[in-house]
Amino acid sequence: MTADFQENSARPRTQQVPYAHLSVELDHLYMEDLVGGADLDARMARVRPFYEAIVASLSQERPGIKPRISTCVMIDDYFSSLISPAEVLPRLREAAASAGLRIDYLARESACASIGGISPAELAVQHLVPVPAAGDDGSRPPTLETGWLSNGRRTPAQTRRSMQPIRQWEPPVEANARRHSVFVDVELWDPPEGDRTWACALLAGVWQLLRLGLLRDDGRAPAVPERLDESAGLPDTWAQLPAVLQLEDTAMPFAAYKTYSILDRRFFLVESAVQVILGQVAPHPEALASLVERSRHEGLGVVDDILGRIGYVMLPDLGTR
Amino acid sequence: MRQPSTSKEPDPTRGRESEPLVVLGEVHTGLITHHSALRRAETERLLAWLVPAGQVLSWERPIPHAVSAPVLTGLDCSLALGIGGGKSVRAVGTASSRVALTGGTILQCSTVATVRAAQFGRREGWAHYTSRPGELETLSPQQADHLAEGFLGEGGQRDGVADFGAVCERLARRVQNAPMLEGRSPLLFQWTRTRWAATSAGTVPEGAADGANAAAETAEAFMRVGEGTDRTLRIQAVRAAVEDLAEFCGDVALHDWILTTVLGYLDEISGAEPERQLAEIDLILTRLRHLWMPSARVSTELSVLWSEFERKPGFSRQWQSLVARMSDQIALHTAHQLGVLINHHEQCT
Repeated sequence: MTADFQENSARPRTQQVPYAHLSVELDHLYMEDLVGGADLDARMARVRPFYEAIVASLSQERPGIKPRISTCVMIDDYFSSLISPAEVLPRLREAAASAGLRIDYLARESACASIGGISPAELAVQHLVPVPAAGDDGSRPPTLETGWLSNGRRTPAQTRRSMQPIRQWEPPVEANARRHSVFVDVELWDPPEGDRTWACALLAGVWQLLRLGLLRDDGRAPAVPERLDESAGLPDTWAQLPAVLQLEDTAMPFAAYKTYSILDRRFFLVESAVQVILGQVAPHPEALASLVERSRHEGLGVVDDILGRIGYVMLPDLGTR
Repeated sequence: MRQPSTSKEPDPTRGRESEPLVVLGEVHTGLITHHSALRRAETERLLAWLVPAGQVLSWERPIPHAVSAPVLTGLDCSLALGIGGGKSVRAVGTASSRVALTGGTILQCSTVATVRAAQFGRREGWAHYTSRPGELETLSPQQADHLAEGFLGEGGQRDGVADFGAVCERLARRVQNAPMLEGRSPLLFQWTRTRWAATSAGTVPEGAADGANAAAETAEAFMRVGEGTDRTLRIQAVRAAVEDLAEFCGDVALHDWILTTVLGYLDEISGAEPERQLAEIDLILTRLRHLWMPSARVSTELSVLWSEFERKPGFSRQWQSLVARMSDQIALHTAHQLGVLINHHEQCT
């Protein structure tokens, strides 16, 4: 004889998201690039062979797999909005098509800051677990400089108290240094108090979390891709677009087990900062468990942590002829 | 959700990682500093304010109970070892803390970590640990019993050793300073501090017809009421999930706190004026009587341990006798007052 009793409010609710195998970011564009007449055709054309290589890498990892790959492009509309979607989108899609590529999703960077009343950036910050230095036993709270996150222990502040000599400089330390440190300190937002302007590095980190389907707000997945009725024409402002716009009906799911970003080398430093940030964000446990289990179920290897699911192709500058 | 447990069954998503050795925890129990019990919505608002990331879980039966989402603390420090295990071992990872409110009144801050041996005997990149919330990895292999005994023993209090107590205290202070609380409690109380450690009791014998019952028969617990308000609880269980262990230890700590608080109170007011004694007893009964609800959310395997505690030392027996004593005092006083009134009435007529 058994009897069981449960209350819904006592069980965590976690929305599931559909998964592709890979999410490939084909380009990341500033408004200035678009206004400045960036050669989108040339940009897409040079991406193509790297995209092919990424597709091939999936078949190499799991021979016989029927690849589910989605592509995306990120437009930075957070710091400026100089040109309208109606002007940009057709150009971008044509450039991709002429290179033999297809853009499945278009995302707006400002949506990583706030969308539909929630802030994905704030969600990520709430999940930060600062890296401990050797000897941190929990007796003192982690030292948080408001709006900054480092990958170790900063140089102690050189405050001069009366009658005391200035201490000798102590170097900062990378928490996971292999003998020598590469100390990185990342600004997450400014100003320290009041309405925050999120740093590009944090938004780029949020972008990776969204692509891995690892963010949840009270159990709900934020910034779910939406279709747009294009018969009415494209909007004039970016804010009128959804966070992630689905451009193709037959697109594979936006979120994926692994992400690749094919980027200009100018993003190298920002993406290093992304690694520092994401290494200290505790992913939503149920969302992560679902990602790991589903990926394993499809015969893909189990990766140790979320950083191991993020790959890059960093491209040198596009020369002019 | 991936739930590390004292079980020895391998988890396919964990690759070649070692099995959990021990689950370590500490829970601090006290009262919220507010004139009345919080209602459900107020409780949920407080816990969501405290830990904005994640969901507040709440229960209405058999008693209102709500738990915050977990907060993680990064650690790279020592874990003390028991006799025969050496002095200490370095461990890296995170401890997971939660705040729970029972009956909108009793506040518990708890910190828990599951301990495993690191696969490669070194500190990994931090992302390795943030993907394993509430897990600590020892940099060299250790015996589970040595870790459990070290944590509960005096060595567990040394400097440089994982200080779960400080993490709980910081959390408790944040709750007590919450803007939605008045900052003052009508009942005087002391915090109790319960440290606990759980290891695996081996495996359920093969061919056991009912796994849950067989597991329950193997479970063991030992509680020590130490100096002042310190308690320790040592558990052996076959396959209890971390959440279940924390729930059980929180439940034991809560009921032990009620007993400790009421006994302390009665002792405190024993020499006071009868009027004051009655007012205080009335306050205790109003605030705490309905909160006695042992084993409300405890798993089947561990509820057997509650039954054992009920047999010896007999928590509920003591509580019933205390409640009876307080009720008698009120009844006696009422009868006395009634007698005085009747006397007065007779003299007047």
